[in-house]
Amino acid sequence: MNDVQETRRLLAPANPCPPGHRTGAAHDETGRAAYARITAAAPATTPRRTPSRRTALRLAAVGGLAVATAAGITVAQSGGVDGQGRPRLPGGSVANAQEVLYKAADTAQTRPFKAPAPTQWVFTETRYRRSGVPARGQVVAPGSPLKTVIDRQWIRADGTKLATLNKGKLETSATGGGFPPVDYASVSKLPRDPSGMLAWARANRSPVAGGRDASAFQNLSSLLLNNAAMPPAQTAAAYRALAAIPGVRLDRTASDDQGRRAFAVSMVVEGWVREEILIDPSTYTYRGHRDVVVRDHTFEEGGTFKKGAVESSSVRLASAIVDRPGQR
Amino acid sequence: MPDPDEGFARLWDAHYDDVLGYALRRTDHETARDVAAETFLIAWRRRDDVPADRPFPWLLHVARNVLANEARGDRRRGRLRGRLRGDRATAEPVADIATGLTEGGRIITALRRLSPRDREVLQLIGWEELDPRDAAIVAGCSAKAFSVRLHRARKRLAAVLAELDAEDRPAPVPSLQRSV
Repeated sequence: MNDVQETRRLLAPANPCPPGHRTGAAHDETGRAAYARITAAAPATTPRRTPSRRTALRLAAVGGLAVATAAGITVAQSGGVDGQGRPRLPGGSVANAQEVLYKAADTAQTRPFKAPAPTQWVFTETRYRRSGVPARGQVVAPGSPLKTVIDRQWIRADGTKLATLNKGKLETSATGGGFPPVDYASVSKLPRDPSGMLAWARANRSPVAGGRDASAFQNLSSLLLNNAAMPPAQTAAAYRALAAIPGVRLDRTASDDQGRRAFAVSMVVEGWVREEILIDPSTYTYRGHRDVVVRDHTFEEGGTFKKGAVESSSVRLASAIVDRPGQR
Repeated sequence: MPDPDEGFARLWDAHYDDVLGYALRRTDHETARDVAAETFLIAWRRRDDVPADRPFPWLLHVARNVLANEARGDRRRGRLRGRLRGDRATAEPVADIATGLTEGGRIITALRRLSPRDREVLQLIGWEELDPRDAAIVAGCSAKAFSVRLHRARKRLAAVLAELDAEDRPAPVPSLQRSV
């Protein structure tokens, strides 16, 4: 830690804004105005609603970007026959998480895919349900109410812009990079092979994930959640990388927040949350995620999550490649 | 009942000032406010990705990329030109003379001579006072790689400081001894 102390000693006199210098900026006039503008943005204020008939129809196009019918056929075929020559029901006979993940990878690679042009936009509609992080003295327990938001966003394929709706008005901003990447240009540069993808996911290690495998699982889960459009090679590599992580489990009888059946491929992360990746049992496409508390957890600031509580979940309702933000 | 908005309010209260400080150390005041707002807007939209236990390094990583985007962006190129602190190899001579009198100025001058990557590594430790593990998240590399980068950057900083000292001194009398 010699380097750290020496660096601090040397750089301190040159710090243009010493720690504590801007204290209070969060609540001065500019800070308050920024806070109001940000929290007025779409996600938190969208009223809860059930998907319309139109949404339900578009749901059929999930993941495959309007080619779900073809995907369905592919999967039924890849189900093949079992040891006695009986046709396998799609998803009916998967033995473990690895098998589900391999099928998801195969599906991704056999599905027709058209890459977006750099100036096109990837539209994604996701329904989130979140408990929120409990404040000091608050407890989130099984059955605690969840807040539902429908998130609609457009990310330009070249990664330069992000657009969301704010009270019906389209607002465009920078994507901000962040990790994992959320734009087509960036994800198409990720490794195309499972071991490369796993190495990438492990290298970007989160200090709180609880080890490099948990960290890799979390990164890959987030990559799938945030990228409705990813090249088939990278999508398949992500699923196969997940299959290579020791300790990944399968729940065949999971369901999403609407009670529809799903395969849940999961791992315990951060020591107290089971992070589940939900996969459609008939099309083997990405459906969403669910984070369930497996051990009571109290934050340093004092809020508590109780075992069995759902921390957050999501379902991807629709996605499409469009020419302009605002189009669906 | 806990509300997701409360979580965001706490994130804002706990980290806005420090995110703004990060931006202020790297750009002018007006742009820094924009960078801080943009960072929190992204955090608001990507709340599921914000690590609940230690969100600060994640926020700074976003701020870092917002800053990079701002610098690259067409829209603001005119406004931002020359406003990013110390990001150009050649600084205005006037500024150098003005700051050259102080220890801080000497360090600033030295930092300007380093590569952007060396500069970033040193600043995250020296200015943001992050520990290497958190700084690695901001820089987008592994903690191990970060420690190696830090060690090398510190050595290069020392070399540049020695160089500056040599430049300040009057030219030494040429030595008769020559190394072959």
